[in-house]
Amino acid sequence: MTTERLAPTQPTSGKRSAVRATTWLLDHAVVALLVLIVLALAVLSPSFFTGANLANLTGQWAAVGVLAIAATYLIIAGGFDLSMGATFAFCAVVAAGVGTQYGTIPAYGAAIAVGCVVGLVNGLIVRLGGINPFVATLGTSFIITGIGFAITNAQPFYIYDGSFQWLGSGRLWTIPYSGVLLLALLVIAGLVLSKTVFGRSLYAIGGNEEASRLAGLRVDRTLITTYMISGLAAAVAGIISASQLGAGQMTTDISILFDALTVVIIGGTSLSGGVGAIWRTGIGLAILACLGNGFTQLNLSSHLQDIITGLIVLAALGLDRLLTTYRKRGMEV
Amino acid sequence: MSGATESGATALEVSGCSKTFPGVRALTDVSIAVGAGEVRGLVGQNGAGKSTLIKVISGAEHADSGTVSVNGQLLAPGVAAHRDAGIAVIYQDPGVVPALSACENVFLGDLPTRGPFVDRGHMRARFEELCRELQVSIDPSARAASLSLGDRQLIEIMRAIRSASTVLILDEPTSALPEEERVRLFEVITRLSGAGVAVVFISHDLDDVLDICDTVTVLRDGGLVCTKAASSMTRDDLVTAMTGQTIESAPRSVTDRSIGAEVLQITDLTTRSGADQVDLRVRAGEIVGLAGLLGSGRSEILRAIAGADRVQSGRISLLGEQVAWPRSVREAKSLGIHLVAEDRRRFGLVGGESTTMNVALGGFDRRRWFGHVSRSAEMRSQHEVLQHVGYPMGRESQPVRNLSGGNQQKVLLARLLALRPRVVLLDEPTAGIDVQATAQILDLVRGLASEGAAVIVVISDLQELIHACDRINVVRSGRIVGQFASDAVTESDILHLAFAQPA
Repeated sequence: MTTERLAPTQPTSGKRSAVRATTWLLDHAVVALLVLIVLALAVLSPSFFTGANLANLTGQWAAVGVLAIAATYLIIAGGFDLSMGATFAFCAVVAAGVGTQYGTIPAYGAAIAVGCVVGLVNGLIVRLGGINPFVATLGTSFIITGIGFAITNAQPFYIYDGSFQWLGSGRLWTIPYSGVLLLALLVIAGLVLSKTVFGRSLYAIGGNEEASRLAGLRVDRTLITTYMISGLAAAVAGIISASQLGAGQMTTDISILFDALTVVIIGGTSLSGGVGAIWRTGIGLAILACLGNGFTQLNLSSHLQDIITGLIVLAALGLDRLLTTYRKRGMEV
Repeated sequence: MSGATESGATALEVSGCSKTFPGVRALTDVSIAVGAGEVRGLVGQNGAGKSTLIKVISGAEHADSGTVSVNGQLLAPGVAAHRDAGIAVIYQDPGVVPALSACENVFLGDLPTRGPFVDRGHMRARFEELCRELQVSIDPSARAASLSLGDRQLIEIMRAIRSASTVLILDEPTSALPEEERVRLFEVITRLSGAGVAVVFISHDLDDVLDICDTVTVLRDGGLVCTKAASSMTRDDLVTAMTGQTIESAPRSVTDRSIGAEVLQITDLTTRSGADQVDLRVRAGEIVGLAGLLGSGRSEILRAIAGADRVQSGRISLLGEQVAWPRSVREAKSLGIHLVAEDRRRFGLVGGESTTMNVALGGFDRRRWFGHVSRSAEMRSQHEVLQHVGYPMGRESQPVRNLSGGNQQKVLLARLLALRPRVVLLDEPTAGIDVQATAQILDLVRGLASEGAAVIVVISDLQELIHACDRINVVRSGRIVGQFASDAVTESDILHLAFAQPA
């Protein structure tokens, strides 16, 4: 009956397609924003639109991007992971620490194992313990940070090792390997999300968890796996960072988590779950990267940059809200 | 009950209202006048214009032409103006705040105060007064979340009376109510009309409409068909007026379906959710109905068999072979047992996803996680089954929340059919769906049975249930308390058992 209340008449194709066109335009406004920013910077700063500059950007934003990919998965599925920042720093420390003693491969392996375990624990607490993901991952975040500082005594672990730093300092033509890794992960993660049973299950679970369970989906297992992917991504990001800096330290900027979440939100992935895409996260990443780079090149204050970023985030959320209204109207006409 | 009240002066008058959404006339020159103390039924198929008319009356939509007046006063556009003039609309899903108490909900937006504080004493006293007026009893301090649907509706009605509403519009108030709450609601309506409130009652349940209303207005394709005294009309008259044609009720088809071997045997099923030592047997091709009041445990029995809820004890045999009780929906599905849960939008569909994805979802548990899903391939493979269930082709890629209730149910049936089920469990498949779509859905269920599936169905509308099933089990307090062959049972037989107090 409610449905009938919302759809009293047979809609006309004209009106419906107009609404649909508007919805589509709003839905893709973020692409236009990126194009605008790129064009503006290309005009204002001669060194912006050069291959070397853009290639460098992929490397600089590789760690944030990897975190953002995993955050996209989790947010679409209706989960959340606040411990990514702490796990990221901790895994960088583990990689650097193990690397100095046992070599690169054990170092990377250990960091990845730690990341996966943290993700698994988060997943188990949230799904089987039934604890709110914000609270659960805030808790694990403190624990990880605490352990990390205890182990390192708040000192950085330095590592000077060619093979360890290969990922962070090597280049494929002009693109840093870390940037290549990011681009490859974006493509793979995008395909998995949009084209596989696992990916579509994330949308279904985020859209309606109970309906998904009653349709026979393994909701708990899928979400726990997604938390593990989140931990894994934090480890990969930590490795990238340690390899780039030649060091791992707990004081590594934990605000990287907020950068990653900002990227996801700017892209247009909805925090209420069930809606979003990896290409959106890619666009969000590009917007944030170009803004930062442009402000540096134009010698503008980074405080101004913060203000602009804040405005874009609010605009993105406003757009999300507007789109929700529009989708509802699309249903009514 | 009908015709009992004298109708006074015209309370609500809609005159010459037309409303066009681009390209479609949703309302064409509709005029109705409802007197003070009159109970007016408003019926019509989905898309007949009932919803648009309600929106015009409530002020949510502004008519292109025509006027709405209350007690002779023309109303300015806008919901606020209409509400202030004394029009209150109560929807099927009551707008109460779950975390607040019953009492606070009644006074929502207008809490009485003494100084800076809420005057609880005054609020309580007024609440009790309203309860006495309606002759109902609701605990004023109970949180709204803990109240039944019927109680929550009453709270909204109390809110409307408190603000001295003269026109009360009830939109599908009974479709989800258990029998006893429905009866109580009818008593309240009668009392309100006795007090001079004009009531507009919208329902798909034509018997309810004939039962409670003084007069009935029928809409079809946005136009007024007729307004007549309820006492002068029968159910069939209404259906004829609504459809513009006579719908033959499909004959009960036990005869043309061959009933085969026993497919499902449930023994001694007990769950924490309420099922109590339930025994059930269903044969291939057979449709078995579970009748009972809301909360009697009928849905819980279905959910337990489908692996959706934990069971405490119970044995299950399929085709004569005992199997382990399914511990998850997934396990049940691998045994060929499939549930279409009640409340399709909450428990059935992912609203924001397309029809294609919603149908495909049913097969996800059989596929590898990183197996490829292609929209176009899914669409091709679903084409036949969607056509079979009578889905309006061409809308597969739109979000399912845009579909009507009937079409949403068809999406769920398509999901089911694509899985070739052995045992089918259907919970309220026809709730909130118009006459024609209901007939279609029940035909599809019969089709499933005639292909050899064993079907268990829960439908609150007893007439529909008797019509759809071969056998009916009556459930009370989680137990099966009686069994009937549907060609030898009347609604009152079932109600008698369903209501009976345990000795």
